[in-house]
Amino acid sequence: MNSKKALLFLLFITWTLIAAADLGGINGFVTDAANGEKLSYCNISLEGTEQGGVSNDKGYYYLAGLPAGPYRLVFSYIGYEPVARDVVVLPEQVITVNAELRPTTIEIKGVTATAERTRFERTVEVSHTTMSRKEIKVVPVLFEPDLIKSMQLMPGVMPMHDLSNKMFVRGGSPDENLVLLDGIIVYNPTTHLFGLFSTFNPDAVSEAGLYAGGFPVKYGDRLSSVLDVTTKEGNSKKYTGEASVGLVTSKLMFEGPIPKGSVLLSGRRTYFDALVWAYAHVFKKDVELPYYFYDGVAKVNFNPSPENRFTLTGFGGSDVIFFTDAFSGGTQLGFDWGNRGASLRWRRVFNPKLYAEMLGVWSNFFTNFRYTDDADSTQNMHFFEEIRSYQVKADFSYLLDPRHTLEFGLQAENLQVAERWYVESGDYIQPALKSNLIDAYIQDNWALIPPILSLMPGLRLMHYFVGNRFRADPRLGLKYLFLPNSSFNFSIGKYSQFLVTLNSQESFFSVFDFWRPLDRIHAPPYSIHAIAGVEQWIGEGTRFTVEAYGKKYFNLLIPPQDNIFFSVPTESLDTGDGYAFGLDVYLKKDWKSYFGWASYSLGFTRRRVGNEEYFPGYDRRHNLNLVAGVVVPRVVPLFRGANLSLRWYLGSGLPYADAIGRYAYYYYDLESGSWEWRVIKGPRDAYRLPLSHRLDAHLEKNIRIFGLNGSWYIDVMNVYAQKNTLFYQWEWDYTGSNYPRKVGYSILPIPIPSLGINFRF
Amino acid sequence: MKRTNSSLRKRILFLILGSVAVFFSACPKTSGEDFQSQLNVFGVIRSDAVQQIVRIDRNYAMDDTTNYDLQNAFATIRGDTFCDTLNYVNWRNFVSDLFLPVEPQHTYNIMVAADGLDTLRGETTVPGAFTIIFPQSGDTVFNDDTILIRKSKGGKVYEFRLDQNDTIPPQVVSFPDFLPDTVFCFLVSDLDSNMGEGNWLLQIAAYDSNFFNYQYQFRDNEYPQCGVSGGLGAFCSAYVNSVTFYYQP
Repeated sequence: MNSKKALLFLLFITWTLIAAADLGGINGFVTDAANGEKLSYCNISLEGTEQGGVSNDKGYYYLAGLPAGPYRLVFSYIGYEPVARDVVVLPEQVITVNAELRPTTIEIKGVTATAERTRFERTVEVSHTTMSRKEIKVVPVLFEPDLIKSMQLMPGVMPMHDLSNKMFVRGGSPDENLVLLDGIIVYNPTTHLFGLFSTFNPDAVSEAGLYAGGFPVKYGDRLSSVLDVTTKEGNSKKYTGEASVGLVTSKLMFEGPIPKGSVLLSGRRTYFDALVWAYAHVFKKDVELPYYFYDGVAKVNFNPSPENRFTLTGFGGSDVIFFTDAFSGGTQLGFDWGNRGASLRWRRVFNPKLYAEMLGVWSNFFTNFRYTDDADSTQNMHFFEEIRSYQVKADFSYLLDPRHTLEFGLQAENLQVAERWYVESGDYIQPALKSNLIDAYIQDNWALIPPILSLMPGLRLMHYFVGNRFRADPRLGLKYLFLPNSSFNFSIGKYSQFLVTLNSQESFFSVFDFWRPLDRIHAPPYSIHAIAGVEQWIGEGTRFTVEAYGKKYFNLLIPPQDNIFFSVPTESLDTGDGYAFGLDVYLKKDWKSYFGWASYSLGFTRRRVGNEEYFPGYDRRHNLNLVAGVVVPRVVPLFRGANLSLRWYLGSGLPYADAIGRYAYYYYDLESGSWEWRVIKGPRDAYRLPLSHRLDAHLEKNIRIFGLNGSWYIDVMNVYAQKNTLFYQWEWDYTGSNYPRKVGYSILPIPIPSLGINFRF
Repeated sequence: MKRTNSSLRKRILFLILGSVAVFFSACPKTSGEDFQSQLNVFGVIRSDAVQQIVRIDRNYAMDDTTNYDLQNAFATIRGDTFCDTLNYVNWRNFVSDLFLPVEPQHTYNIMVAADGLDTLRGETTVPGAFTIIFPQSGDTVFNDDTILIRKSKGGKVYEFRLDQNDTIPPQVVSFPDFLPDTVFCFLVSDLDSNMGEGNWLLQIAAYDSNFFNYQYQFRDNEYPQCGVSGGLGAFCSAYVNSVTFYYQP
């Protein structure tokens, strides 16, 4: 009986192989015909059959297991004209069909399976939102569009105050976020203008994706979230560019084709310093503003063959302060800091089933402080600190069969933190802190019962050489379409981190973080995420998700609350743990003439250090963002046809420690016997700041000047002059009654307007 | 059809009410903390003082608007051979009636009681006697000379007071002593870079560890309790030595 079964099984396998031998396949890339940019989740169907597929997030697709014969291959993507190609599939062969789709403003009938619907049905992803360049640029902000400020409007992301550019994601501090720019780790993404602007120039950004939790195994070394920013590919069809002049910066972006590829160059710089300099020289005034910042992105794509693409990306930016006569004539004081990085990416289609990206990355953040005295060189001093990392990565995607796509990869990282003091009496060089980390991961995108149930089990293995630590982070994702338009999403996983910061993440103003590799004493911090949610498909251009999450932290290294610099070694950091849980609701709607979204987050965050358990300074219970954009109707003169977008924000108060008592403190001075009032503060989270809210507006109108297309824009932040309290201070009246007065301070007490103009050429 | 609409309305109503309930139940509340009033005392008994002065006060809640109400507090200083009651004189100052002999390396106690407040007790041990190695009385001192003292046992802070017959305000500088050396030295020019030629009185006071903790080691967000219990503040002592010298720039 057993031998009969074995024979039957053998026959079945043989038949399957013979049948498979008659099968072929089609693969290729789908791109935008106007600029050569990839088209993710493009629908690809074979007319007259039930077979088809979808391009991945790189625009690559592969249709396998097609019986040999002629087909009509149709590529459809909303907002683009469909493209049909007649092809003949040959047995045991894979033919490559690349498609370029032309954008159109005409609604194409029959394009029903959109990228959004495809993502809804097939992609196992939780807590993932994306923001396009267009969306980033229409969100009303202070002075000019900013990626991080726009991402703060996503569910689960909270700012600390009106001008904060940090992202507190689902109870996580900013140092728990992995921020990537084309694969380059950006250690301090919000350093411009003392933290007001992020280091990303939105003109060069194509898309930003945020995983607020439950991120896939290909990302690691962070506890909370991933912000993955992709720059534009560069137009491979024609030379184009953009220039803009705003109140704070001027920007220039250029892109165009090169032989077998494309190039993109983008840069911006502030010019307050130059304006003040010119004013001082023209009007003979003794004023200077010795501050500016700049940044730039350069990207070159080279496609020697359809299977190979090389992409070289470089970016850099810096903030510079320089006083020529700092304290007296002949003394100079300089301070600069910034991010730099470069990556070389090799995209290779080894065979239709195996898609790979190899990446080499250099990333750096530096701070530089210099004081020189021409009259007395013994006073000269130079301080330099940097964090520098080198990474090599290889990410593979392998289509095992129509139900299984394996993603796996390797990553090795060398990290160094160096600190040097140069003084006249002798140089002091702190030995560099070094660490090495090797990661490997594997993940199966498994359509268990297509399209009803999909699983995404994964495992990330890490070996951290400092202290010889090995960690394994298993993760699991699930998507269950319990109704045709309703899906249940679930994710659970473990997330480890081997980098820590020395400065408190609770301070209102921190321009940058002081990163250190984990020492050999402390156990690596890790977190467990559990997320469950429902996504409802309402219709085209609409997204509605509700997600509940719980996050538990272990082995956290928490700097003292008042530590805003790097004065403590990692060995003296407090060890703690904590948890966060909450609910995020997100509704987004995009129509032709108007768009908008609402994101609401309910969050509870607790930390524990020793016996003290507390709500950290960024524990915001309620956070609501309403964004709406509309085309101004024709009845409104002057602004007809302009785009008006509004953003209203409501947030409950953050915890703070208030004074509970005062006492006289005496300075023992024989002559004066001076004294002052001092306060004793209560628990750090015993009080809450009042509710904060704010309305911002953005108005943009297309214009044509000197034969160029362009637009002007006006932003007003804090339209109705709401004074959101940032902190309280007790003020004393020593000459009067001596009774203290509690005074609240707001960082943005008045409406702040800004304007600018853009040109496209 | 009507039933369906009614059901939908009910669902929406439940959803709205549920959301409102979640919103308000999750609203963060201010917990605050009870305030406890305590005596706040600051006193430094000195070996060179004719009368000892102690400041007696209490702490206040932030919204407490009452005026000073401790004029009738009862305070005593006790040594090996005496016990004296302090009398309220002005502001927050209480002064001893008698001359209290404050001897080096002797221990003194204070007790303060007031209606409605816990009794405060304090203790200090006077730093040991020390010698001024240079200058000696009558020496001529130059700008680049070094003042040298042999340290006091138990002295944690040294205060230097330069006086020229009350003709100009005295210069006072303090140095906490963090080093284990047995001598303490510094340049004359560090005391006062504008000293004029003539006779000067240099008075050096060595303060005890309670004073050091109160003035230098005190951490924010903690009530200072330096040598006292049952309240807050500091009860400290100082041994004082002095020398007269002639300064020639």
